[in-house]
Amino acid sequence: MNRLFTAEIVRNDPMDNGYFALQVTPDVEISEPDIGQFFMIKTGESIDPLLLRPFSFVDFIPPNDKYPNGSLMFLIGAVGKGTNILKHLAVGMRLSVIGPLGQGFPPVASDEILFIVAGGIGIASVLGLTNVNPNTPFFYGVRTKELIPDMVWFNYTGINTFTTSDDGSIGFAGSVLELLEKQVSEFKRGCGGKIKIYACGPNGMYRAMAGMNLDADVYVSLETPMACGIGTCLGCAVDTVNGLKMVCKDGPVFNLKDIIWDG
Amino acid sequence: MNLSVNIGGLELKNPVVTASGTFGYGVEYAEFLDLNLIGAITVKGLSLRPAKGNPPGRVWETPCGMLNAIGLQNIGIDAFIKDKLPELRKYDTKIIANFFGDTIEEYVEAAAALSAADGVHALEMNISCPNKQAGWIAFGTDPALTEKVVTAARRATKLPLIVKLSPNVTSIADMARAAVNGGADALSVINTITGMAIDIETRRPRLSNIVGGLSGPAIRPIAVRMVFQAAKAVTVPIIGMGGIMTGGDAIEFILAGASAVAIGTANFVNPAASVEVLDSIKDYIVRNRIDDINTLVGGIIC
Ligand SMILES: Cc1cc2nc3c(=O)[nH]c(=O)nc-3n(C[C@H](O)[C@H](O)[C@H](O)COP(=O)(O)OP(=O)(O)OC[C@H]3O[C@@H](n4cnc5c(N)ncnc54)[C@H](O)[C@@H]3O)c2cc1C
Ligand SMILES: Cc1cc2nc3c(=O)[nH]c(=O)nc-3n(C[C@H](O)[C@H](O)[C@H](O)COP(=O)(O)O)c2cc1C
Ligand code: FES
Repeated sequence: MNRLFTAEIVRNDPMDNGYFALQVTPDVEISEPDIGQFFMIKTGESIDPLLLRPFSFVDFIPPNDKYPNGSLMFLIGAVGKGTNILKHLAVGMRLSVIGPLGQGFPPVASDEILFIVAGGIGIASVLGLTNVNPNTPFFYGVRTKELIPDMVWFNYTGINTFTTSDDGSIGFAGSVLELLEKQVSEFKRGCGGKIKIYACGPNGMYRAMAGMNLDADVYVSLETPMACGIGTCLGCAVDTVNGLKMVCKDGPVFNLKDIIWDG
Repeated sequence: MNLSVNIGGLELKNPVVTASGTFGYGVEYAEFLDLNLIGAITVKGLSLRPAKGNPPGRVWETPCGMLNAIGLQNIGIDAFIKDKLPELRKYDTKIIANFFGDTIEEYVEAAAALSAADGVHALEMNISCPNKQAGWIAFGTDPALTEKVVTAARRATKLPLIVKLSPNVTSIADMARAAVNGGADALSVINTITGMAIDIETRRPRLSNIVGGLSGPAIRPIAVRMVFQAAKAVTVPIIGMGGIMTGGDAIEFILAGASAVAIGTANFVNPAASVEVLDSIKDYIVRNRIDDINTLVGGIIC
């Protein structure tokens, strides 16, 4: 299947808080991506910025009459040069895209219960999980209420959200991990059983999780700067107990216990 | 219209090759382009033993370019010959094996091992590496050392030997002459230019290795100048590279004196860049009614 393709922007809606919802439809058939996989997107024709930018997709809408090759939904934070250009591209423009890339979240076994954890914009890579695992507890930590993206653009079901904010402006005041830890131990005391945790957030959150004594199988989606996205430049290395791995090819989803965090 | 070129004994059907370290071991790109179309594939720099490379924090984007400090991570010559070459032999293109060592002996051993392999058509020696025996001074920054290591490798191979020059020198002409005196059949010009970037919030370097190699369009004028100067200094053919994104960029290198061009960082931006550059070179040739691309080499008017 074509992993290098062009796609037409069919929707590009800015939100007040700096996020934007981008929907594109590929010009050719692409393979259906797994949740946790990502796409490299060229943010314009210019050589500055030069490199493509990696983005997880929130949702893949299968081919239909309107979009014969389906469409991809992205939730993106405008943080720097490339994302601020992308944010202003008009509907009808075409983007150069590579993907789907990397390894997504592993399947959840029938005897396991899934907990999802998102920190900030990390919500973009795990939101799609709620579609396949309805009613899953979803722990979502933000700095403040205003930073919650508007979800009207996205199709998701059965979300059972525990929101936390650093400043207490919404939900539980404090760290999302604090709430997660509480819920995990409550669950263990209650019905028990095996827990899988799928998380996406900043590295600091993962480090903290690695230090916690969570009785669960934890998978996290890592972010590193990337050049190629396809495993050839060897730029996105991460240290693991199995040696150096490439985030773009061997990840971005890794078992948390395999990651070696430096000093 | 003739597009074929001869690079020190290496016959290429056209002048477009891929640059080492930017095209993996070649096979990874088969899904994105028809590998049979390009003149040659230069594979990731190989060493006798597998190399782990530098710690994470290896790439960083800069204006119109990127810094890398991969640290020459590679699978090693044995694994390359066993696992990658059989796959590469299926394609009708030439394979250039880029290699390096920590010592002169390692260069010699690597050259010999690669020459014995079925399916390697030429060797490209990366001399932008520190020399363990001489206080880690790069082989490619001291002309006497360059000549010495090239002379030694020359004796170890009958294949066309391409020496890839480091741009981190005062006189590229002196380095070109040193490599040719050592027995180089051709030169690759240029490798990445040393650079660095700092995160002003954390005050830490962007790369774990602190310094890295700059590549991409940001370095193109420097690379064109160095190809021009090297071509004036020696008569062996030159593979020009450094920031080529388009066919027009490639023609610029050819006019400066390159007989072939290598596509590097552009492969990251567009995995099919090499064939697109080739197509656009063809357009230029047709548009300018040129029968033989070789007549363009060094065709700058000044
Ligand atoms: C696998 C993966 C999935 C991602 N999914 C999403 C997503 O769904 N939504 C979203 O908003 N963001 C996502 N990101 C982060 C996103 O790639 C960066 O925010 C983006 O590259 C920033 O580009 P910029 O030009 O605006 O920023 P600049 O700061 O100008 O970028 C400078 C350079 O640093 C790189 N860079 C900066 N921040 C990051 C980062 N966090 N991760 C990797 N590279 C970075 C850029 O790619 C660029 O090469 C993801 C990152 C990865 C690795
Ligand atoms: C990520 C990366 C890895 C590279 N690895 C090698 C290498 O292993 N050996 C080598 O001789 N040159 C290596 N190079 C240098 C390129 O082959 C080329 O000389 C340089 O990048 C300039 O061309 P460009 O601007 O088109 O990329 C590497 C460059 C990059 C960007
Ligand atoms: S980004 Fe190039 S190897 Fe991962």
